[in-house]
Amino acid sequence: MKKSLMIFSSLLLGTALVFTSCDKGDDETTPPVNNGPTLYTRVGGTTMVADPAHSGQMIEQGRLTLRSVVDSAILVIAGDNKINGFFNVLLKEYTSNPQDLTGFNALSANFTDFLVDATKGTTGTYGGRSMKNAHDPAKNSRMNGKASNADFDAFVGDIGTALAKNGVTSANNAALVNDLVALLETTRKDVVQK
Amino acid sequence: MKIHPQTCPVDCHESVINNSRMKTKKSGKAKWILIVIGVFLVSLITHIYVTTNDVNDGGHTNWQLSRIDFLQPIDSVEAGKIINTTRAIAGVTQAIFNLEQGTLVYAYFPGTLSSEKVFDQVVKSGNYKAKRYIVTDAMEKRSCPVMTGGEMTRRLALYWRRMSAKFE
Repeated sequence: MKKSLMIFSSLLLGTALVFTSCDKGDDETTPPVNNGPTLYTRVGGTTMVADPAHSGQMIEQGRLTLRSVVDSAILVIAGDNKINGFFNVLLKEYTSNPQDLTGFNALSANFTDFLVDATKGTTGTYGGRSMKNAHDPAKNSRMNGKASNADFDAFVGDIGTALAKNGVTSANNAALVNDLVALLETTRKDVVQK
Repeated sequence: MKIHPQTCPVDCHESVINNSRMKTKKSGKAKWILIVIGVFLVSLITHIYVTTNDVNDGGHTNWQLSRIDFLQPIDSVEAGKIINTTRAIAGVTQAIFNLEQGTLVYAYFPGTLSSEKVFDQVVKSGNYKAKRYIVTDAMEKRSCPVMTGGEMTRRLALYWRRMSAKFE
């Protein structure tokens, strides 16, 4: 009986550890203070629209907008030698069993989730590592060295290029660009560790 | 203190037997509770795994990316031509040119296209000096912060979001 209880307790503890291993609480992103509509609402909000990438599926317009920017940004980053070293896996060509190996899907999903939470001012969608741990080579063996301020500047620049490729520029929507950049800037202190 | 049934008076003997029966009953109940909770947990985890098995999350695209580095200056007009040539190749879904660094990145669905073939077609279209960007195994092992960890947490978050959406 005691043995069963111990096994059960261990199982419960293990389950709890697995579910809380994300360690999100140590550096939550604080969205910019804004008394108007959330950034998520301004990029389309929760209105359901057809997903152009998956016929027959619906997606929130806000999520679709953010995903489009993220997907463009990943291509821009892959071509940018300044920070591409952190994302080499994206350009690895797999000739056999290539599904889900390139990292594109993982990065796209993870980054979109993060932005959905950040622009909504909520938590719960993003299930990845904390910004601090994800960018600490000591805690994440896949982090190719510590990121510098110059790396972060290049990253923000690439997001700007991706926004432009989706029709949003400082010239036609300065407020939106500025707010998105401000949102990214809230993560600088955790990402830059050099 | 443990009383041996052989040395115990009749009343005491019955008491020991009753205690023993009660303990057996309690132990049996606890076992059943543990089994039910265990089955519930296994079912819940299986359910979460199955309902979130489409890690695409209803809309992410699993693209393969490849890159060509140009070894000569390319202006914006030439870059436009290169992008058009690349996008015209069946199977290519996206193409982006970095003018400052002379790099072309294009996307396609994994296993549907040969990057050598794309490279040959693009280079041939303008007799460009260029090379394919090849990621070695060593380079691949240390890159992309989101590739490890968080899978179960992500599935749980995804599951929670879907459940919440149903009740909104």
